Amino acid sequence: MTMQPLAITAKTVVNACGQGETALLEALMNNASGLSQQGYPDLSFDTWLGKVNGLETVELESELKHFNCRNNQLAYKALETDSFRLSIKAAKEKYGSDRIGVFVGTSTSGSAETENAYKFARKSDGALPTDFNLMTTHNTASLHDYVRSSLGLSGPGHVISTACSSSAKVFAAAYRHIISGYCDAAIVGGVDSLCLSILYGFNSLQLVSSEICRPYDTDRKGINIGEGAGFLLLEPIEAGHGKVKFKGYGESSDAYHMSTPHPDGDGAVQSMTSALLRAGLEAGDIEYINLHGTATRNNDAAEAHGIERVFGESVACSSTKGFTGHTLGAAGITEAIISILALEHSFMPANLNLQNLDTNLNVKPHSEPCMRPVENVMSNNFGFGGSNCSLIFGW
Amino acid sequence: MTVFINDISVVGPGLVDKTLTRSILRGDEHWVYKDMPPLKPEMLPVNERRRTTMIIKLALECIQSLLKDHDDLKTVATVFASSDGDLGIVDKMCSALAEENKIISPTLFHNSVHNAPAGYWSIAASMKGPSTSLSAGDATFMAGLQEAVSQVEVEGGTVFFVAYDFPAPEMLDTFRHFDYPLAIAIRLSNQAEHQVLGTMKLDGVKAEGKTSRCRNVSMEELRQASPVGCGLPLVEAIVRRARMQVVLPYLQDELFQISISH
Repeated sequence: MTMQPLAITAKTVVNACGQGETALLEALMNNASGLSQQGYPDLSFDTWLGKVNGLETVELESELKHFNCRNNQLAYKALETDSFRLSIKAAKEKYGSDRIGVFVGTSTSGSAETENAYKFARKSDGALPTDFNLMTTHNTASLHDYVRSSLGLSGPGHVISTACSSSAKVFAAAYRHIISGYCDAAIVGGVDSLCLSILYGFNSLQLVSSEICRPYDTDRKGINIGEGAGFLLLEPIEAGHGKVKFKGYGESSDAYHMSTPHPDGDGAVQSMTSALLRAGLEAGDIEYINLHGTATRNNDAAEAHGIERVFGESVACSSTKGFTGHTLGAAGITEAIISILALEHSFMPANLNLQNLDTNLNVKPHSEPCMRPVENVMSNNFGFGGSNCSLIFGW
Repeated sequence: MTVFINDISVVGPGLVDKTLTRSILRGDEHWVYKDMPPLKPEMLPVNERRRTTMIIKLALECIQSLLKDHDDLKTVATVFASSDGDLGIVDKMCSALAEENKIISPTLFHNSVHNAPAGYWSIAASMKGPSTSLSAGDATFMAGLQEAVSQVEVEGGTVFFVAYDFPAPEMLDTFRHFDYPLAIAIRLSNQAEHQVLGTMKLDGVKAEGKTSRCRNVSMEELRQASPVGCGLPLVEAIVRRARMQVVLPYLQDELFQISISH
């Protein structure tokens, strides 16, 4: 069943590559990684991080101070970027604030607040600080409530939290709410921010690399964790003459293992073919795939296998995790925006840090940016719990 | 597109036996608190089963009774809705991270994702279709139901919707309190199946009024115990095959009206 494409009429992005789409575009064009070895408070092992600097001093709106946490500070920073608020103001005048939905993804929300509260409790009388606010910071819904309040919207929405596919799946949810008539337009996005739960959690699985991450490289040693935020506005196609379109989505479950992908890429095959079907496209119509490409042994092998099964060996592809790090719940929106930039600026970003392509993987990511117009692009995101999502953007 | 309600399931304290639960929902019996027996997710392989937590067991116990022999495991979709997810895991993770050596086990970490129950369920039932795990705080039941209904309306087919929350451990209870655990699951399809219970239409946000109460007043305590409880008047209406409007809490103190027909 093909879908009705939606127009992407505004976007904003913040991550380790900088604030705004121009900063991200320049990094992608110049092969400039945002990853660094600057560390994080209480982190006792060496790794590279995709950190957004200066978040600690970001101040939320005075009436929304109860939402204050690293995750919402990052959300605020993105909302303040690339004239996004102006675009939303215009959309509110056009559709009404109750007709614009907000569908956002996060994996760990404001987890750092609870971590700090427990640290405080351990050092004091054992109780959490009285000003700790679980619901407006760490609760998964906090991001939605904050964004909806900050933008003055009153349409439908929720937070999707399916680990690393979270802010890809929001596109499907927004589409369905628009087609069902529950709203006319929607903001989709995602935010994830650094916290100890994620850093030590991934380390317990021995999936964190002490070196800079090298997706699809024979010497890949795991992920570099990053943080990021991104939002975009989806409108009916009439509103977006000359704009890139959201054309397809596919969702699936591995039903295999909680933290390891299906080795044959079965779930990935299902999400990619389902996205093609919705877009009414053949595999040969996709000119570039933005890979999930986390740089873990298992992820890259499973994804490569799945891509080979659907697209063959010669499709152009690259993982951009070497630029931003793995931004987890924000990876979907970050890489959707990278895919849209690729369409708008006629290029395919490089698979950064790739030195020796793993020849056991039957796909060939390019290690330098390619300047070439592209018509249709796929972005893959696969998460814990076997949650897969593939998106298609195009002209 | 008509959305058919083909089955429901409720699991909570005093709501474990299916026949008794139906009687209570019909209003034939009073709800009385009873400790829940240990739940065993028998559908899971042994290795996965021993890694499950209380909230995962609760969600699985509730959703598994929606499964039918004829279900196409590649296409049935699931929506898992929980306001707070696994607060027991949050407590364990943050306690471990407050220690000097910060030791977290791989199982503790992979159980910490909001979609852990959905992941276990997909393994238990070999369901490979789309699965969404979400939260909308106190509006989680209604927002999750809206997501599930929109999936039936746009994609067709069958969607299992399950909402669940579980009380917090002591440290976090002051900041988020639920009196009781509760899970509600609804089988929604674009076709009426054998033993169809009715149809559902989402009318939209309601400007005035009050949230629906339980007709069986003995369940009022349970309704107010968590963001899942607000779905009980809806399930009552479905089970009693009443033709009526139900009003549920929605985002930021708004109200949302649903029409149930038969």
